[in-house]
Amino acid sequence: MEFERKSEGDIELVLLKGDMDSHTSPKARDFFAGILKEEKKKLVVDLADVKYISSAGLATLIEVFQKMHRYGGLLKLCGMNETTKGIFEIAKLDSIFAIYETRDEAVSSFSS
Amino acid sequence: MEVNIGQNQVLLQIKSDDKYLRLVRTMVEEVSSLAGFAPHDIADIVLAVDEACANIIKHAYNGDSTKDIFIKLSLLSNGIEVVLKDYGRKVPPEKMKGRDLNEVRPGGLGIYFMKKIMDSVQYIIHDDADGTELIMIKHVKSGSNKAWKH
Repeated sequence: MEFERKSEGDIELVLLKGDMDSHTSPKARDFFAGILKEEKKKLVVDLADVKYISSAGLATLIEVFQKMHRYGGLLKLCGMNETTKGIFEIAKLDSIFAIYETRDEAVSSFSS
Repeated sequence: MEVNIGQNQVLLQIKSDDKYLRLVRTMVEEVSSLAGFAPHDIADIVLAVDEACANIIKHAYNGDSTKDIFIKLSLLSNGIEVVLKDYGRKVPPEKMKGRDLNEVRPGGLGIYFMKKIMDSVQYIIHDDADGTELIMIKHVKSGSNKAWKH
């Protein structure tokens, strides 16, 4: 699993690449720990290059969502393929997370 | 790791290391496709089997990556049967409950996915030497691609 991180103003953008399963999720958790430590308030995670996500990957994102919520931060997700979207729907997480089709939509939602 | 392909059946033996799960997913995807499932059902079956393997590694083998997991994928006349066998800690089936989805927290979704996706999920706990078997079946729904013909 690979991670790309950049800032756009006060918004942190993260692009995840690869499968998010029980093998790769510990690495993802370590990566997000850095962002959480900085207490970034606005975070967009782009899942366009995530081909597969299991409950371990979902657990990582839930953890980020909850920790950010505790310090007043907001996590937004975007770019999900149909498979990933389906998994969020089965777990009924589509109503918990703020999910956008594109990265631009997710970024601009912070100013609306 | 060992793969045996027979008539209408694929046998896979892996070590209990989650680095092999991607390989298992690829195999399940191919066999589900042969069984005639539609793409969204194939993705779901892949998820159910991946979760089952991850549960064995985490709960039955406590993360020990040196143990064995046996996976049998069988083409049925109208679907697929997946049998996973392990020789780890035996967890009583009544303790294998998915969590309440209203409770948003990390973890506990694996069993929920398996039960939600597959038509049948059954644990058979054998005597000490014979390990635990998890048998999952899913049938092709009418309207999907044509089912496998023997």
